[in-house]
Amino acid sequence: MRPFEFIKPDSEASAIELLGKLSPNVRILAGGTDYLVDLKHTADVPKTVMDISRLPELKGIDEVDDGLRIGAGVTHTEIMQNPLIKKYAPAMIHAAHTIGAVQTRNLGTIGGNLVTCVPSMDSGPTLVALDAEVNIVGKDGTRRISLTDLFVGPRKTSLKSNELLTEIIIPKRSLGKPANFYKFGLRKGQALALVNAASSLWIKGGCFKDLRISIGAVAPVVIRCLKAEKYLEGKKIDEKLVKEAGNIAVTEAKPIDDFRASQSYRNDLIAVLVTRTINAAIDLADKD
Amino acid sequence: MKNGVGQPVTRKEDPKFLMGRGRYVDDIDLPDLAYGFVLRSIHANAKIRSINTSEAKALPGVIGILTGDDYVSDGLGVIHAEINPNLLKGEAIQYPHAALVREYVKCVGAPVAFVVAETQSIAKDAAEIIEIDYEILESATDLSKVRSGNTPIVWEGMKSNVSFTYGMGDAEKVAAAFSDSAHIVKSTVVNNRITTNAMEPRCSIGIFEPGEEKFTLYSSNQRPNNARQAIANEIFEISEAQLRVISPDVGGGFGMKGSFYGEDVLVLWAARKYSRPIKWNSERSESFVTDSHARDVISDCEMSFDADGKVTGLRVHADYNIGAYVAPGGSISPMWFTLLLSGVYRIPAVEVVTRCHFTNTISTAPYRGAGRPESAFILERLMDMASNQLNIDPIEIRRKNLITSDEMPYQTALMFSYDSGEFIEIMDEAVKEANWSEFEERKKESESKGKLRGIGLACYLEGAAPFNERMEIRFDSGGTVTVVAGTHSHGQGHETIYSQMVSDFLGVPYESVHLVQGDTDKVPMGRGTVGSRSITVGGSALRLASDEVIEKGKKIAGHLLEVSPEDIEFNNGTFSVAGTDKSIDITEIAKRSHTPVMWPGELGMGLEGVGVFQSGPGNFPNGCQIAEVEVDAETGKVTLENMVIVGDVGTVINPLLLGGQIHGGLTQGIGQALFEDVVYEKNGGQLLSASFQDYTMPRADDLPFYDITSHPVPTKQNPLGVKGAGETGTVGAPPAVLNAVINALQSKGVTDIEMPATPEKIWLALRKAA
Repeated sequence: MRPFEFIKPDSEASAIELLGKLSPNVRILAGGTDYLVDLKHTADVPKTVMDISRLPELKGIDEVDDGLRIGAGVTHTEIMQNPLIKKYAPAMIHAAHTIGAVQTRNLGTIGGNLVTCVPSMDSGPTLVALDAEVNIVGKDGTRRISLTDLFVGPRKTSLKSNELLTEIIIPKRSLGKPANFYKFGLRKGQALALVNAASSLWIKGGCFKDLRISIGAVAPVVIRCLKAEKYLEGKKIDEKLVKEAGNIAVTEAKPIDDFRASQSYRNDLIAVLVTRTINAAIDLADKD
Repeated sequence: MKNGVGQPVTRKEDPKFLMGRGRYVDDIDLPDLAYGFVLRSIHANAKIRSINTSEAKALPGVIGILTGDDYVSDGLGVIHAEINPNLLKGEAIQYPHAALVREYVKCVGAPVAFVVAETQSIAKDAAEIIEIDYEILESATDLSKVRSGNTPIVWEGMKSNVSFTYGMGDAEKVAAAFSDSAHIVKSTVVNNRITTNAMEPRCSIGIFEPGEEKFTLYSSNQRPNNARQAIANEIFEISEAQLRVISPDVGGGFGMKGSFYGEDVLVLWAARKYSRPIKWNSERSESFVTDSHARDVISDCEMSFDADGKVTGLRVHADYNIGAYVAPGGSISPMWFTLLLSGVYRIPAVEVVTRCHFTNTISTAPYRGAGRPESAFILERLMDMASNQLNIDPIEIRRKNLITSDEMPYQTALMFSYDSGEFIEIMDEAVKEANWSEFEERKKESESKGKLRGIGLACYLEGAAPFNERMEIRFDSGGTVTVVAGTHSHGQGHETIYSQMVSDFLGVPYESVHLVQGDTDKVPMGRGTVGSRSITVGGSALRLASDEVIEKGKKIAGHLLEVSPEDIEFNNGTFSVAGTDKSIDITEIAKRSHTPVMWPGELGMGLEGVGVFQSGPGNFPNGCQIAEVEVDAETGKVTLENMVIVGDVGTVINPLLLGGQIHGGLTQGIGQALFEDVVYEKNGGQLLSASFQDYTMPRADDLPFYDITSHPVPTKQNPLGVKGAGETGTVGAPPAVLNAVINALQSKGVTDIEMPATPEKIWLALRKAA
């Protein structure tokens, strides 16, 4: 590892300013659980590393007018322990719990997990299923986009090199929405997802309403299964239909085939996990 | 007796380790210390056309860079293995290797250059800019292809990739048994490749004192005296007095640290060359490509039965992957494997042929069990297959064939004669403990949740306690006792257990016994710790050393109490004159023996004893393990619901420490059965499972609480009655777990599955069977 310059701004404003000046020769460090591992092995050592782990603006989880605001610098452990998350989006706690080990969760941040943008990220599917949006700050101000628009490809987001992801917003309509996350790895903890999935739904008059299905590790980015959602939307709750939705979700994915798992196995897991997350969300929902 | 033999004494070592006060090699800092980094091959098989180190040498902070050419010009010796001549069939071909290779690299991770610098970072940066021109050659990593002869030859000039072949038994007798048999069970049994992952990665420091012309090596090694012998005689050709090897606290060995490695040589060589102490510390990712791997055996097996379900013969033709370079311990696992293929069973005729192949992979060498798990796995898989094919209950088919306690001592058709064991009683106890009779109800309950459930057992035996050992007991003038041990504790808790023994044998307080180990200047002889040997061989030597102390004490007491030594009795720390109230305490004798005044010369000076114990044929720890699993048929995920072990490790010195050994051993066995797998790229020869991301070590939450019962049948092979305890968990767990998994899948038509039984393999097997 070659020497690099290390800077640690103390406010969001100064971070944005520095980013404007130094980009694209700067890399951002938050929890470091992904980036420090990369940095040790990469030949492409940046000129500057900017540590944003202490920016106060990136901290905290609060109820705001349009929903629930989660600072990008919030750690997975903080998510697991937060009463507002427990009240409004408990599936996120389950998802956070499957990330790495205790030490990883203590340091790793939700924003970091999203912008690192590996297909198997465990924060992604639940947030996508809850229609989450993100605030991105650059020198020209703040823009808000849907989380699915952040993801471009493996390790590639729509963030510009002079922008910072600062907040995740779960919209008001998704707060308290029955949702479930399921991760399938090679063991319970400290494992990479072979497939992960999340579903959220309301039940109105015995029928699916606002169903969202999201899957990870089976496409270049975490995706929404729009066809499967559409197939069930408005239909009466029925085990067979849910199973069919699982099969439809398979057609929306493009899993890789490698020594960790074959494509056909991952496909089968998609169907199983989608079915299970929908059924688990149904169990959580009010049935009137 | 408090803290005596048989008591569940907590470990003396624990406060130190739990509070971070251990002193491992990497904790040792020295003035002027420089750091070494090994540049390794990134190719599985390649010719080195050239190495250019000039730019790297010019980097500020670089002290020097050594290559294979320097190794040769400095006249250093090569590393090789001892092949057991009693088992060898035909010739053995080794390509003894230097600590730095030249001309060719034969596996990913092979050491090409040693960079020495002021810091480890500088050494790594310099290594990055060394230019090596490789001519990439085709490689052979997959044992299934290698054994069929369908791969390139690893070492040019050889006709095949076979390095050596071990054989045992009587082929003609087996052929006769097969022709008379009612049924033959055939299977190709695969034992997957695994790696140790000791908590402490390997680390070495080399020091050279030019004045004394003496080397000191700090190394995380299980057998420092062996390392001294080999490195002094074979590598540097110096007297052993010129090399001191110190193995301080070592964070797990499991056989993987049982022999010295090339890096031990490199730090010593560089220390002499650059007149600086040199440290090399393996990183975790480096340990995946440099620590010896293990298992990786494929065996064609046939077992014949008579009409009654009794085994009449066994033929095993096995192929071992020993890697590109034969490691110093590379022939040990094939040896134990070959010798133990009768297991706990009465098998009148056995034939074993074990071919050991070169491949373009890292060397394989002992890892907890070392050949014993491989042989037990074969026997227990064959038993379950026979149970299936002959339609005999798995417990009953074993009952028909297990050697009974009445048949002891039992001479197997191979080399060993077993002195003791109650195999049937132990199986029955395990079956009861596992509540086998109510399994069907538990199965129905699982089925009601949409899950499959299976139960499987393994009866097994292993050979423990090789070689001889020497132990010394010394009293100082204050009455404190030092045990100078030829064994080496690297997590086992020897200080605790030896203190229990000495306290029991000599009546001194447990607290006043201390252990000296792991330093060849302090421990003149010793065989270290491998093969479940320390408490059996070392402990027995300690008993003999105690006896010598007592004999000596009696002479001194006789002198002091003015009676003949024959009239002195020793009991619980006190020497007394029979039939009188005259007595003297052992600590008082120790005190006076250091400053004797007007004593007869034959009483000597000090109070000490040396014991040497020769283990003879060793002993045969055995047991029965029963695993119960639930399988999610949709995903293939196995949940281990219950794990029972009833084990015979002879007399139990400390049940708490025994429990620790069993826990660790079971976990490593279950790890192999369900999770762990070393995977090489099929064609390019890269190691794919090269980090914890893909090499799946089991975690506590993947495992149930273990149900551990001790069923001691003391051995007569040593004065303590103890059998080895270190490996028994690992030997039985893989077949027990696999048999349970296959039992769960049986109703779906699955009859076999390879380790590790990962979700995808199970999913695939279920799909194929459907």
